[in-house]
Amino acid sequence: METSARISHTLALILQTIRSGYVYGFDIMEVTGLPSGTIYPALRRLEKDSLVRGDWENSRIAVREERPPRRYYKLTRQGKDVLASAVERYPLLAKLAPEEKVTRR
Amino acid sequence: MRANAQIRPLIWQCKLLLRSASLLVPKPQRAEWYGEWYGEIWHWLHFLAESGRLNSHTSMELARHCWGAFPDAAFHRFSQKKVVRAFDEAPRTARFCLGAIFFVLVFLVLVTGLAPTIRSGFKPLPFHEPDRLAYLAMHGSFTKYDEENLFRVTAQWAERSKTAEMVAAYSWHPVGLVFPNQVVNDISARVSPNFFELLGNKAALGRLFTPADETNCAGCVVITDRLWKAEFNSDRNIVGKTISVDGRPGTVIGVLPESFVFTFPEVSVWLLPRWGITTNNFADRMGAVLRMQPHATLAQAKQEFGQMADKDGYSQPQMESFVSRAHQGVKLYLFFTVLSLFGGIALGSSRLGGAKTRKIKLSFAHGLRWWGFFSLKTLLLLAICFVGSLELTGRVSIMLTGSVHPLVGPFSTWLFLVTAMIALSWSLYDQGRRCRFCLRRLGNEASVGTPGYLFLGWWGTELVCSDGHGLLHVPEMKSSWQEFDQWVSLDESWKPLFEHEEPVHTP
Repeated sequence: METSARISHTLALILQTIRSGYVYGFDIMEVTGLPSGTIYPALRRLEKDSLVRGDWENSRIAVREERPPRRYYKLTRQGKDVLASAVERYPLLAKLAPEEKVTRR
Repeated sequence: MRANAQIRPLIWQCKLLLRSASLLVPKPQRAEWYGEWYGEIWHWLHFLAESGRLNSHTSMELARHCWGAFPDAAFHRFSQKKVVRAFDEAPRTARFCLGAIFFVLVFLVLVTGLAPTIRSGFKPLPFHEPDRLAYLAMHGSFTKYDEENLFRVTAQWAERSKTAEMVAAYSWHPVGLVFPNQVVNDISARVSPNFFELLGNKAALGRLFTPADETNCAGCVVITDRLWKAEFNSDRNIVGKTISVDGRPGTVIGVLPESFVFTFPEVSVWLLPRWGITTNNFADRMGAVLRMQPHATLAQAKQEFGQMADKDGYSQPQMESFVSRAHQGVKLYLFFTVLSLFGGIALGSSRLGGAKTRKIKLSFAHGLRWWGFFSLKTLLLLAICFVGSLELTGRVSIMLTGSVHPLVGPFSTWLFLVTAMIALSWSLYDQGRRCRFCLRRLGNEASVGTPGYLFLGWWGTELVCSDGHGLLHVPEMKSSWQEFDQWVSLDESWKPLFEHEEPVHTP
């Protein structure tokens, strides 16, 4: 829980966005409005701190559909805990949170 | 993974950017890093194309997105914390401050072509035995003298004088030089035929005036190296060609060497006394130069020529040696540098300057560093002001008018004084906002108190040294919080708060 104490508002917003179902870089960028130069380094840091986990999609599907594979991010257990504390710490975060994504590519 | 023809060029452009950025990523992670970015771009572009949203605006957004790959790639190579900290902290250090000012100074010197005007002040004057040369300058606001009379009396002074070997007069005017495509407003000077012989100059091309020219070659013209290069494209066959000065044709008989300098204003065209119609000219646009006898002193010449000039109706003539006038700029700089430095230290030591704070006693070593840094910073800033004002004003004048305007001299002096005052003020302000121990620029400004109802924003501001040496309390105005700036040193117990393991700002 130490990480939650130093998580910034931006990181909390990214965690919140991933939890809402926006699971790859471009989606997160579009929803949060943050530039790519911020999103990707933030995702690296969250991954390094084990708050999110990045997984490549099944390459067979990508090959079959003649497109490059994508990397999806999801919250880890620790990430969910940190997000919960961050929401308490930043009450406005709940208001800024994007709507749950209905479909997933 | 075929891309349709519409987006193929965009895909290639993005790939080029991503490949370039990927070079920053360490090799073991490069393929995976590139794969993720490329996947994102590919999907995004196809989504835009398929949804009909691909236009110049979205293409620009995509380009911005691709540029974002560079910081991401850089953070794979370098520690993000260290990079952020370096960008935040490095500019605060005293070394960075001095380095930046020094860089600006070097840049300015290089841009101006190694400061030729200043260098000429240190070079030996381009005259034969310059310590025997002196100016006799006329003074008087709005006073005019007859040019023809000046040329006549200087010839008489030369005959009568016991202290001068030769005397020559000069009188300068603004003129219009007419060229096929343009008219250049420049400065011309009528001079006695022995003017260049007196100075001991030789022509770089052709020849200079001789006493015989006054009767044989009244329309002869000598031009400077600058005019020859700028308007005649360094034509080696310039001698004998015609130049139009105020509509009158003159024959170029020679070009002065590049090293030739006279006084401000910079004269481009040299004429003989019988050029056109002589007129009355302003006193401060005319004068005489003299070569003193080998054993005569400047004081003796001053006395003799003062009496002769006074007798012939020239009031307030002033004599000055060539050497002394050439070093005037350097003297001016040194005088104001010393004045600014001592003035700055005096101001800084008092509470007026803002660098003085209450409740602090620096050790000798810290005091030495503190004032050493201030002195060096101020000296470098004054050097920038000096180089900038002296070198750039002449160049700007040439750019705008094609010649060195007569006001360039006074303007550059004025500019130096004004910029020197601004530099000194900034130097004092900057000093007041630095840590008293490590000389870092203080940061993390925080407003203290409550906003005032009248003019005050807050009671004051609090700044902190990022290394935890102390806090500076700055009142918005006297008595709004406290009377003067107050420095509070922080002891060892505060250290953990300033340790940098944890990032100060995360994205």
